[in-house]
Amino acid sequence: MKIKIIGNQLKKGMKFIGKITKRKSALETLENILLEVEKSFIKILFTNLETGLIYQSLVKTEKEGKICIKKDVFEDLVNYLDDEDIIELEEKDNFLKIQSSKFSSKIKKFSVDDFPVLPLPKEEKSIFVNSKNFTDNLKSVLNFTSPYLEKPEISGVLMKILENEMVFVATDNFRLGEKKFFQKVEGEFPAFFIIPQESAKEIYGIFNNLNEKIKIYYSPYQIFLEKKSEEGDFPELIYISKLTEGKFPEYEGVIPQKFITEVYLRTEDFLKKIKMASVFVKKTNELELIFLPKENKIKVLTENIDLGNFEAETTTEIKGKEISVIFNYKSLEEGIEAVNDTEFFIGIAGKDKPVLIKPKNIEDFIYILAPIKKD
Amino acid sequence: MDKQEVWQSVLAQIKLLISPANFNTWFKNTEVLEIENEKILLSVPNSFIKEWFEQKYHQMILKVVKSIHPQIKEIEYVIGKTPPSLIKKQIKRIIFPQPELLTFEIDEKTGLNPKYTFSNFVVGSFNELSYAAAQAIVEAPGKIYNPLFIYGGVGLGKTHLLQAIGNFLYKNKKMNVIYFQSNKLVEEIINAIKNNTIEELKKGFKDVEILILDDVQFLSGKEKTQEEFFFIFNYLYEKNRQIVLSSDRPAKVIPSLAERLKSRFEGGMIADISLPDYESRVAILKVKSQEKNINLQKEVLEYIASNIKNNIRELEGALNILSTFSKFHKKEITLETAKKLLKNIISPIPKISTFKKILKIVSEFYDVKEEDILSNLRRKEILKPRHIIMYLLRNEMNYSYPAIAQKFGGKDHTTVIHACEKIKKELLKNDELSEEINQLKIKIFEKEKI
Repeated sequence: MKIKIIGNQLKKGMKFIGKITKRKSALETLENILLEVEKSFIKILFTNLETGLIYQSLVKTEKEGKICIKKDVFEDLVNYLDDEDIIELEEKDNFLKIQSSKFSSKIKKFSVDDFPVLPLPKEEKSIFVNSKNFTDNLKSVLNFTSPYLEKPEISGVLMKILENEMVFVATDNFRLGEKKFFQKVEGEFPAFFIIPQESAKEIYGIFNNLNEKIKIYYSPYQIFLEKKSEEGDFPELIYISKLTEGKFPEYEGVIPQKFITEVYLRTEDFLKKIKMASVFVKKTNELELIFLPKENKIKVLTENIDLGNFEAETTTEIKGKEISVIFNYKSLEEGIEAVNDTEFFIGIAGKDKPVLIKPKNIEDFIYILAPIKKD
Repeated sequence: MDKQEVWQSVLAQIKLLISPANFNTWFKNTEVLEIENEKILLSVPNSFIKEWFEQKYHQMILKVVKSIHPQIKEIEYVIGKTPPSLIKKQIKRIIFPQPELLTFEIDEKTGLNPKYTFSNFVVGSFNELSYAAAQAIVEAPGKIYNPLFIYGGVGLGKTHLLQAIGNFLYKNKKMNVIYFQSNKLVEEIINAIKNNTIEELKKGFKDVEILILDDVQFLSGKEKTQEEFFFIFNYLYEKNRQIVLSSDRPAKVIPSLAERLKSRFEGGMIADISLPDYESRVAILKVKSQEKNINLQKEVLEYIASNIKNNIRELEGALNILSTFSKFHKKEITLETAKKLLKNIISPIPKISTFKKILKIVSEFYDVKEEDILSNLRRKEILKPRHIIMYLLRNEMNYSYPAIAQKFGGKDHTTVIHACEKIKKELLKNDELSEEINQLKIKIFEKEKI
């Protein structure tokens, strides 16, 4: 193998590769990347056997071939390249030789035969989305998945593809977030699948910085996200992930419909109060909200015997009955943060019942949170 | 050789051919799904593994398989069940010390659990009357049997039948159904009284078309709740809304239940669910094992059915144990394994007590001296506990009448018969007495605290 490539192209590729989580494995080759040169293309491949990434770029090829090297070493080195540098990569004996006008280096090579084969999209169904829009919406629910892998069906994000809409849902059984967004789908729908939480994070990491059309292929077992190159009609980036098997819970039934107390609040102002109050939460993370309709006030209270306490009031119009609800402050805060509107709605369905939080102006997000039960 | 054994011996050979790291990475969670004539169907956890097998290891696997099964010419790889993650991560626990309230099984609006339907309800002679009544009700709710009162012992499917009625009417007829566990209703009413919102609570029932109240025996002794419920009941009843009730005993023997409620509960149709017969138990096990997706041999099912007789929930419990075991060990359950696993359920700790213990507990309970009970004194406050002891010895400990007579200083055994009969008769009309005896039984068979 022998090629010439521009520095920033290598940097770009390794930046994408770096977003894939490296997992501990006994198999040494999983610490490696594979460089593959064929015709006038170089491919850089990396995988942890659950997800994987292929980066492809045009190069000046002098000799085709494949070489396997340690990912971390190459990544660290490439990171310092200047964008305009012309880099020469050449396989020599047991090494990959890297040379520019400024430096020269040799990286030890490993057996190419051990490197895993990455599955490629074949007959899968596909849709097109905007990468930024897609990942921004994904992020709204990304934190709400269950961290426990014993319940695989809720340890990932449910993705629903409907005729004119896509929906992301995530829950950990204590709270649930549902984000809808308009997306014209050409292709087959409805389709439902669960993206593992690790993969969803990787997808956000890789595609949120891009703002262009990407193609998503899906089959029952895996999902591919493909970004076309600006240099020509070939994919610059293919991301691969397995999907989680299982049936996402039928969550529609838990969405509260009727409320005994309801109120609209200013997002930024209220979030600030919660954050201040959180200084004094106990280990149990309890934060109390008291709704006082007669006085049109909401109180935010926390108390920690060892530290002190906090109390704040917000004046606003409250409909319904007086009630006090205790929340896990973190879950409350995360839900309100995901609202993405200047004002939001809180509806209390009753004592010990889940509450509903949603934006005031756009009906694209709902958050359901179970309060902490107190006798 | 069965397919598991074939695959195990293939793996054993492959282990010698490749490095342990490779073996653990690629062959973990693989299994043979099927061997048919010349073809093996192999399940692999994901598409990365599938690609690798197809492109790299295919020749090696085929060669080893052929050495064991020479007729095999083809291997097909399919993506099967994936474990959640191949490489387990350390996760910090205790993130939300919060009770789980979003239990997705229960419908927020109706309180029903959608898993209970008529289609998975097994009908046998023990419950056919109740089932027929339920069917009649879903045909014409509020018109034929109102209220429907179903009673029967613990774990015999009362809740299943009640919920099936609710689910059917809610889903198919879009009716406004509400399901309550009686203790939940008691809780709501108490809260409403406390917060002075009882009128609102009652208003909440205004649009209810089907009211299902499970385990009404829990209303016993809750006078205020009974009173409020009486109004709700009347309101719905007058409007011909269907009411379905269940209890672990007939309404007339529920202690401390207001007469007016008893007579209303009995005013419609009363149906009982008795113990399932052997054939029904086998049928139930078949349905449940299909639901749980576990394949059990006929002998195993028959073994469970012939040993667990009193409770369908226990049947299900037994299946759960077996299903967990077979999923974990990935092997079929033999009769031997089943016997071993179900030992604790099938032969529970026997009821152990002694004459001495019974004597002590009963005399303490009624605050009389033990020697008085054993004496010939015929005072009323002593006669009652004495008769109760005789009754308990006879009915719970299976003592013979003469043996009991001997324990009481050589009384005539007809005296004992008379005493037992007297208690038995009294039990039918005296709720207080039956409650006392129940409490005594609990104490008598309570495990000794060490």
